Amino acid sequence: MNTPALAVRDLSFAYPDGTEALRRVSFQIPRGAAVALVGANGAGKSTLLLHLNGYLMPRHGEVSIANTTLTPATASIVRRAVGMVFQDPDDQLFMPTVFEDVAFGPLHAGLPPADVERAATDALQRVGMLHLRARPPHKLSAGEKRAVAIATALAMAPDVLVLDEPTSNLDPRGRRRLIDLLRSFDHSRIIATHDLELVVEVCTHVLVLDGGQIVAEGPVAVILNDEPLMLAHGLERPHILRHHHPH
Amino acid sequence: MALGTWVDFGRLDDLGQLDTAAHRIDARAKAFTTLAFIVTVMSFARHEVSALTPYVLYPITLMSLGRIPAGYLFRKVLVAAPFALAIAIFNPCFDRQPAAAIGTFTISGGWLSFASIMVRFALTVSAALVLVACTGMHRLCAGLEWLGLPRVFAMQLLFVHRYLFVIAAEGARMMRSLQLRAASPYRLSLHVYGALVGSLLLRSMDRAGRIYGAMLARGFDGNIRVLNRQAWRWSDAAFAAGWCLFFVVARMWNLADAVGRLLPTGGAS
Ligand SMILES: Nc1ncnc2c1ncn2[C@@H]1O[C@H](COP(=O)(O)OP(=O)(O)O)[C@@H](O)[C@H]1O
Ligand SMILES: [Mg+2]
Repeated sequence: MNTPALAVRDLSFAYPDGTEALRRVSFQIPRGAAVALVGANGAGKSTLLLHLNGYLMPRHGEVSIANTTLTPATASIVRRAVGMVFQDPDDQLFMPTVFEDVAFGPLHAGLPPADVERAATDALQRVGMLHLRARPPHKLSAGEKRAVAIATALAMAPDVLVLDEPTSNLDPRGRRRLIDLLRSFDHSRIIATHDLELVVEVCTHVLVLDGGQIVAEGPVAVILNDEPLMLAHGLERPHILRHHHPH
Repeated sequence: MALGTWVDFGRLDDLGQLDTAAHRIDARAKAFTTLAFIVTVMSFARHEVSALTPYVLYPITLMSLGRIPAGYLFRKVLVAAPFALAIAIFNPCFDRQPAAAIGTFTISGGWLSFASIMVRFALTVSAALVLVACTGMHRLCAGLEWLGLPRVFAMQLLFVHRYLFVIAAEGARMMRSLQLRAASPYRLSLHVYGALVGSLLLRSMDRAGRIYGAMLARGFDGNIRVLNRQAWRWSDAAFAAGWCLFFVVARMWNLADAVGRLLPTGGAS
């Protein structure tokens, strides 16, 4: 059967100060697909992503991963299946060395030490950061931090990867490396971003969020080529689509 | 940035990652021995000064084994000194009874207990700092939990440590933006400082919350787990037993006096 990797139904959320950040959001991510979540600053992207692993617990509406609906009781199962990469890597890296940080997830999943070592080594290798294993994370460059943050999520062998603005603050080379890396994954992915070239290269589908609502969704070529739509929601049509012919 | 470099917790963490003879000693052995050290040093009578001096051997040994720079440690102890000073400073005022004499010069009990408090403070704080510097906070908390510290406290300790970094980093960031915009950060009004402190607190709390979220996202359930927990070796037991024996001996006999009497030139008294 084709259960979606991730399904969100009628999700609404307001912050304690009354800001309505999400209004009846619904969408699905097919298994193995990469979906972009675009929208201006303050559109609610981060808020939405924080619901996907129960950092914010859904109260109005529902989030399910594979066949598990997210509730306080299932949160630990869901967290193991969802690899979350925060917007700011400094929020994500909290251990004294890169290796211990990447090993934190597998270790707390209760794996035996040999498996923990292997999971952490593999994940660091996957993002090309194994040579930094003994360094303290707070002393890395922005690009290195981001790659290590992704490794911390990969090490848990998640089914779904959730990334919040993964290319922000990166220089062109770091950004290029990251795009290639994201493209090489076969996890189901949801990526919040302003980087429309990343969307074109990595994703197949786009969700457009504005004022906490999904205002459009569809294949990348269709949505990003719709100039009036993009402009209406504080975005622009990416240059590469102007020069290449969309598939 | 004077404050930043003086506080500099990051250095303590970096030192905790070294691999030296002192770092290889089991965290539990070091934590236990340091605890015994602190308890013994605190148990001396309040006028005691000379009998305390042999205890300096413990932090110094651990410091040199662990290649902890003495200057760094000294600055850290100085940072905390005002707290001890605040407690000790009242002694000379209240206790004016003469308690000891050097030649014709008499020293009041108040000054002796003042000196005693400062010496004890320097000993215990430096021992605790050396312990952290040659163990690493994470391993130390896991070790303390194993020694019987309730898990809630071990976790609290770990988080306080982690959040100190957070607050220091947020503070550094705010100072930087302040220096860019204000001619001299020292000439700001009290009102501005109040706003700064408030916003520092809020930002730190926000960030602390997000870090806790990141820990939860990776399966943290309140148990501190450590990779490669060192196996307990005989040398660890010997380390703890050897030092504890020394602490007891130095507690029962005033070793400084004994050494003084043995030296041929030390026969003044
Ligand atoms: N902790 C918070 N408390 C109150 N309001 C918040 C908080 N975080 C975000 N918001 C508000 O929620 C809305 C969505 O924010 P966010 O999800 O961060 O947007 P995005 O990630 O798309 O930039 C914004 O209006 C923002 O001001
Ligand atoms: Mg955001």
